[in-house]
Amino acid sequence: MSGIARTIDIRPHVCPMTWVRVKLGLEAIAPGELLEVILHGDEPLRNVPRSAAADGHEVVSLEPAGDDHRLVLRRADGS
Amino acid sequence: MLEELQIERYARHILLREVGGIGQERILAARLTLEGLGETGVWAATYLALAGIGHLRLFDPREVPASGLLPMIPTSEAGRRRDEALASILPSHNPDVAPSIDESGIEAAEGASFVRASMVGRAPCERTGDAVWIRLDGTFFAAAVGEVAVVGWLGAEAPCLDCIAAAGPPIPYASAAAALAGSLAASAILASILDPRIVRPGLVIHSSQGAIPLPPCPHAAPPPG
Repeated sequence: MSGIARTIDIRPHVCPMTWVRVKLGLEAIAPGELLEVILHGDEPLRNVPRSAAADGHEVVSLEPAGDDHRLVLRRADGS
Repeated sequence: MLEELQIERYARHILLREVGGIGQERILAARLTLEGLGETGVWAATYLALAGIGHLRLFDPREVPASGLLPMIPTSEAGRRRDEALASILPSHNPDVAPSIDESGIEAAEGASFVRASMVGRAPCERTGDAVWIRLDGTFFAAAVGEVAVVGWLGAEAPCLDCIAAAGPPIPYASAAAALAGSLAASAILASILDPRIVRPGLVIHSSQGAIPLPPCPHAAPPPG
């Protein structure tokens, strides 16, 4: 997907650091820009998209990527 | 930009919607002065240091009492200056904190010369002796009075210490009230760092009955004319 402003790999981390890293990644881009997140395992697959949506960010896509998953988030305005 | 160790250290803060990484950076960059290190002041300094306030200036030349001071200064520090004792202890709980001794203390706001007078000299009442003044962009006041806490941002008018003393029952302050006053002070300071728009002058009495504004002071001089 084009237009990705930043990519982070949270595979080395466990909860709650997975969401902490994603949150910091979202803060590092401008509202409306896209953040790509590489994640692995059930916990981040379940919690990261849910936490992002709860904070008002848009879950643009979530798809398998080999043994991992690739999540794309759009940063909310004013978050 | 937060360093790796700081991301680990403040992860629980970063998770909070009101803080995040940007808010934690603001907290780390903040500079403030605390004057009055009774239990209320030590509680406030403890919470502020653990939150990551990077630059704490402390002032209280009084000696640590034989009993130490909750929650941070042990009895082994008895006899030492309170500001020096606390400044030496806080970095061991958070290495991001760099306390210093501010010999000048808080500069009194215009019309509030009581700030230093009551600290350095003697408070007009023993029940207001356990108070802390925290200077950020404004001055925040917190005191344990009997079993209640009186806290708030100071406006241009100096609050009447007699009225503050009357806010609580006529008994020496309780440690629980000091802990409450100190924690409320730290919370208010941190909130104002994250969003300066929330600062509203005015003292509030906190007790088991809830929070009520300190009644208007009847001792104030009448307006001219």
